[in-house]
Amino acid sequence: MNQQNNDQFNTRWGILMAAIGMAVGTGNIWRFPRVAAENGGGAFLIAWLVFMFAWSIPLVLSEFALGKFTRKGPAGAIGHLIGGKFNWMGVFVGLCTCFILFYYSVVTGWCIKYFFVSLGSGMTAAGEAESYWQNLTTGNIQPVLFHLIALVIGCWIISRGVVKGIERTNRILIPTLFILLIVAAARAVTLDGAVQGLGFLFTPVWSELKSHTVWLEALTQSAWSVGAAWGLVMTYGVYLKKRDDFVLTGYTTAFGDYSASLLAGIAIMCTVFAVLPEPEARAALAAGNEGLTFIWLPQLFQQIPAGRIFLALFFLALSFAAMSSLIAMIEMATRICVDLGMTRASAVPLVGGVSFLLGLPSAWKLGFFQNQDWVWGLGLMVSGFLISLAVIKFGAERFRNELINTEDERRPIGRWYTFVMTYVVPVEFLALITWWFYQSIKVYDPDGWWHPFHSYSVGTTVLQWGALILALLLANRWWANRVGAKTGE
Amino acid sequence: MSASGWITMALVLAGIWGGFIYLLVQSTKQEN
Repeated sequence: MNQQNNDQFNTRWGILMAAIGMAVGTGNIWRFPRVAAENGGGAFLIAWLVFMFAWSIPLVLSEFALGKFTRKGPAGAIGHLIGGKFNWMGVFVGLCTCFILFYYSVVTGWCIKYFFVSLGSGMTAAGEAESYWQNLTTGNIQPVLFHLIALVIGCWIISRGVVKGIERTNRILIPTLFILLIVAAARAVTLDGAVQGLGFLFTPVWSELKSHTVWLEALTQSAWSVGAAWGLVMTYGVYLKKRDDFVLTGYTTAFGDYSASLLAGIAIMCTVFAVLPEPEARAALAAGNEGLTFIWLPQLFQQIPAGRIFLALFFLALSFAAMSSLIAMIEMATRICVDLGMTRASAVPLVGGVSFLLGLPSAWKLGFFQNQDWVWGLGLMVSGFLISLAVIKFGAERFRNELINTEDERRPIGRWYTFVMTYVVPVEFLALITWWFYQSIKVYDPDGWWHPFHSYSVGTTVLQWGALILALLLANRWWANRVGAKTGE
Repeated sequence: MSASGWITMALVLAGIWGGFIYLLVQSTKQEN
């Protein structure tokens, strides 16, 4: 095993905070509440719990093991494990998340911007929030500026290294984020009419469990939220000490992520249903992630007592959630450069500069952002499939025995891991891709689903994934040699 | 909210939040 990394996590608590910070992002706050409410409430929650064990935890543990065993990030871990000719699979995982990084820093910038707006006079007049959002996301320079600010903060944290940067920052961000979410949830449940919001979130519509949509939405939410198959856990696995076990950390990460989602769900659903009559509340939830967060919530918070303060706290929580995930993505991109032979000192500014340039189209045009979110969000399903293929090629039972249940592991994982990685994850991948492509063909873009330049088309997905995979296959020999991935072939 | 809603809420919150707190405590114990 290559032990050349001297920058390692100092404490288990530090690993835990970093891992939870990686997992808890904007998706917990702006996606989970509305998806849960729209898909059967309590029934959705049951399906969502199933997929914690049927997708997220096995993949998180696989990534920890890959990073710790190979001491490489996505740039070389899979090649190191199963041979250089398969190295492109890991690189796809890493670059898919890099493409997400490029637009996620724009999202982080929006959150920081709205935090400052909520501190000032903000959007007080009715309807002002919508025009403010439209102005902001239509050829406005401000998202570019805040995209830059988010990247500068993120790169500065990463430049300080694993312990002083990632560990120390998350030790502050994550407890504060949970306190903010608890305060927001506590305020929301004490509003008149909040019980109706709780009803929409928790009352189980059992018949919905027969609907494939509920199960597929629950799987999608779990897959995107916990951070499985992003390559981020793989990167953090590189910085574990040999004696650090990770099964307990993997479970805690997943439960921490789900806990944050439930807090956000309670805060948002109670606020929406306390302020709005039911038809309008449903319209707010149907307005999509950005519509709910940046148009509806600023208006709703204005209407509750001390709402301005809680609006600022809400956007502060959202900024912390976004930043803790953004720094994990910047670290992963930096790790790719380091595995390719660069020094950390030169890799961080390179990652920052490239991310700024490639994030500019998303900062400038909302349609471009939406296209990238569609293509690379779905790309994460491919990443999960590729990691499961790597584990299957190595031998899932052998992987469990030799890479997870090592002599350092105090809480070994059972045989169910082998079954899930071998059979369940590949089937889930096929179901997800088929369903999302079906959504594109039947719902999002029936006339132009094949078009390579439409935002939500099958064509744009196939074109962008295809171009990336082709480039990776052509460069695979060079890349594998560069990261020394021939070991184990 | 219906009784089934309250019961589901109690079970889900106890399971997820309780599980999270239990795992955090276990992590802290292991650290020491």
